[in-house]
Amino acid sequence: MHELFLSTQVANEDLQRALRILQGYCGMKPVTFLRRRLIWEGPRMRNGLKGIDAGFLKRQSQPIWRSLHEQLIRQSYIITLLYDVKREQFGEGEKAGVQDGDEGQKEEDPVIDCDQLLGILRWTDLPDPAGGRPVNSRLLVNIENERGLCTLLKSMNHRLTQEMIQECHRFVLGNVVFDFSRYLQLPPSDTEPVSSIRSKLPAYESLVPFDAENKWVLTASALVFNGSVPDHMQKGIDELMTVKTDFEGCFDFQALDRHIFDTRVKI
Amino acid sequence: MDTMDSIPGDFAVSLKARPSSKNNANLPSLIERINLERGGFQNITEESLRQEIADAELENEDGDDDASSDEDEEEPDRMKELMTSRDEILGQIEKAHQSAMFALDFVSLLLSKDTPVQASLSISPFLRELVGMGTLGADKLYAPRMTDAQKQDNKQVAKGWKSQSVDKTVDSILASASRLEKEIELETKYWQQVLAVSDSGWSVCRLPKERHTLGVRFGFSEASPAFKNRSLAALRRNPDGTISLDQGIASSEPRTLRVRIRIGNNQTGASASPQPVAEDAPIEALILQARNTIFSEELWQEMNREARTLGSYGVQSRDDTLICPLTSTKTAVFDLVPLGESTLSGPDDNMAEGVFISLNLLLTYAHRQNLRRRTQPPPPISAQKKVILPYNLLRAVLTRLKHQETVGQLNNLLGPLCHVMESAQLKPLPTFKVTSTPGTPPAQLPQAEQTILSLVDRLETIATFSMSESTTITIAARTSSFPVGSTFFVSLPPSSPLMSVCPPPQVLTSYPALRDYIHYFTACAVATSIATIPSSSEIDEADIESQAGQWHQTPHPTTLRTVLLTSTAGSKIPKTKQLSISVQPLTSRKKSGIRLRAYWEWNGKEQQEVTVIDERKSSFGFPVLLEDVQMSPKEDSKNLRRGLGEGVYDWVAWEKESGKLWDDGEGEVFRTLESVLADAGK
Repeated sequence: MHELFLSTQVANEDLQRALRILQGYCGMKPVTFLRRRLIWEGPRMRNGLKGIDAGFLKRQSQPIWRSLHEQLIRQSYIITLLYDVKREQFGEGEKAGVQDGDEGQKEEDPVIDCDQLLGILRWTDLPDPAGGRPVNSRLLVNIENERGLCTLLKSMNHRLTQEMIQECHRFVLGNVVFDFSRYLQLPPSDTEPVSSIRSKLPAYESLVPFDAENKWVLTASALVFNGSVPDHMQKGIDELMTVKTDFEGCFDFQALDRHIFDTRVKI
Repeated sequence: MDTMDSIPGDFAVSLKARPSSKNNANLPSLIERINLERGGFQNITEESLRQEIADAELENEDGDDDASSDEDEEEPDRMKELMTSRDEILGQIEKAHQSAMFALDFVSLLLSKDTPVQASLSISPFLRELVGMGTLGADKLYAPRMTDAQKQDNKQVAKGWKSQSVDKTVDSILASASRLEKEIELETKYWQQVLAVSDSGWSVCRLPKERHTLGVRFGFSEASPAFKNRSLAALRRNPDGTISLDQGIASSEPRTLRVRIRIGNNQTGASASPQPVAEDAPIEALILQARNTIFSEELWQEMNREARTLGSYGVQSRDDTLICPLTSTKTAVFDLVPLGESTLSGPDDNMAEGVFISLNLLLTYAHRQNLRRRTQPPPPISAQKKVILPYNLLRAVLTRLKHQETVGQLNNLLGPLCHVMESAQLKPLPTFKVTSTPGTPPAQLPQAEQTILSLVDRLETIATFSMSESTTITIAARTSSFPVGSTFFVSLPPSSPLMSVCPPPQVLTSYPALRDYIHYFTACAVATSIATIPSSSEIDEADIESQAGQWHQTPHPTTLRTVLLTSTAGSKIPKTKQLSISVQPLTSRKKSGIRLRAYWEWNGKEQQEVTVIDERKSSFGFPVLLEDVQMSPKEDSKNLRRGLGEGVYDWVAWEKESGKLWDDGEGEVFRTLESVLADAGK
């Protein structure tokens, strides 16, 4: 699957106005969600990459795992695991501690085990060189509704390097999806070791924006099932170009330098 | 150009305006025009003029015949006219320039005597060479004839003109001020009305085609594209300041959907049709009417689209109406009619109104589903085409009615059964219960959508029929939309003795099949309850005396056998008798009923000459006519030659004419089953 996309930035002060503009443009209220992004780095090797475990591959019925395996064999990549979280889940550990005293009985703190949850595995390639295309275009593998992804990546010699929270407002118009995203870092934790998957999420207010200026990234993207069919790619490009011209003077959608989105592991 | 009007006609004006009226018949101007047109009189003769006139007349006639070429020629003529006028103007300007240059030269020459320096600046070199500087002189000969009086006069005239012009200016300013004031008043009124429209919730925006005009969006954002395009109307200001709704070329008279219910050819009900709003009603009422009209039109279109897929349910499209059978007797007729048409009312008005309201609600629900579909992240662009299926409007109504029909059928099946057995005083008395619980839709949907879903989706009715505590049969009836119909799932508890006798089929897809099975089951249950000895044990020859008078089960579940001691002398062979129980539906003209029959006869060689009653009456599944039932007691003695000790007894229950209560036939008092069995056993 190919993803065609354009990006721009929106300052935090302008967020509400931008949301209203897009609400009118798309004719819908934004869908807001919070996601945990677990970023896993592949093995630091140039050759001899094993990809996905053969036994696991045989058990999978969907061919998408095979195409991911083919990519991972030739090059080591950074893979992201996405888990949807609710606002209420932040700071649950602390809240439970406060309520304990009255009851006299220690309640189980709600522990989040990512392997038990349904997650999304997202792999993107380095975007194609600009060529004739006015938009960024990259190969994408998105595997949804899978359990046990953390264990799987560990078994593939991937290490967890970073975790962050993505706050996102989403709009849809036709084939184009608009995402307002902001990335927030988790503060260093006292109770849990570094580079492990957190079992409890800290309070929402303690999250720090990843970007010093607290900007939001607005991405307009369209997915094409088969990137080798020029008609479909052109259709996606045309829709994105229409978006770009429609928003001229308001948002400046650009095809950014492809190396910003480089997911290859540097050795 | 005002100044031009005030200049009297005898002032010399260099620039001559193009002669606009052809009626100006002054000779000098005519001559001038002819000169311009033809370059002098040399080439004109009388004959050529007459020829020209004749040609012109012919052209006019041709012009009348084909107006289209005329129009085409009009365009080039215009161009030619323009070009000629342009040339004329240029010529005139040239002339004016030349005259001005001559005048300048003349004055310069005149001045060259007195102010040679100044004159030499403006004189043309040609004249200077030709004539020389200072060769013309001017002197005053007489005093000017302009007297003081004339000068005063001129001054007065000048003042008069000035004051006239000032007055005119003041008047025009006043006029424009008052016009502006009126405009402002009208505009304020207009904007107040626009604000009122916007405040009452309508969305007001600029028209995309005329960016300076406001319009109101009265359509639905999830409607199909054809209707979305027509959902914008301009708010225009009338000359008197009131606001009017302009729907453009899409405007049509206000219409609504009408539902009429028919039984056979008679109309028994119709949905209410509102009155159209008056022309001078407030704009909000007109906008609301426009919205209702576009909604009804969309509903009509979607119903027609759906009707093409519902042909197998008897839905037809005829003469701009849709005909849809709702139940076995009632048919609905749908059409789109202008507002205000009066319709007759009848007993089924509520049903028609109900169908109308539910169709409207279902269209709104379909809009919600459209919204849900388009706000989800779309699938990737691929060769798969997006197919938009028709909405489920009529289908949902038919499903709901089918569900109600099924509930009624279950009640009508089990109720009379219990009644009949009550009249036979069966012990214990059977009971039944029919419950219909709506399903629970997913909780994350909004309340409105959950309500619609629970009315249309997963419709289930559970009926339990207990003959006794151990024999309870459960019927789960599920009504589905694709296809529209009810499926019956019958189950018995596995411990029930009847499980081995008459195991229920897992799935039954039609009501008659269910009815047949339930009747068969009831007969089996009654037979089983009568029998005291199971069929597995043999008739013990030796112990006949103790077994006499008791009924044994036979391999056929609804038939029982008993052994009797013989009373005739000399015969030691024991006689056996057979008893059959059957339950059958009855129909007669307009009534329907149910019959429980007990039929007993001798079994064995010596009874062969007795003809057996028509076998078909004891097999299940055939509804029997009333005449047959009434005939059998009479037939008993005459045609059927039933022997002594054989007979038949029926318990009957009929549906009352109102269709509601079940009643015994003709006030007859029935015998109990026990007494009948006692008779049978003799």
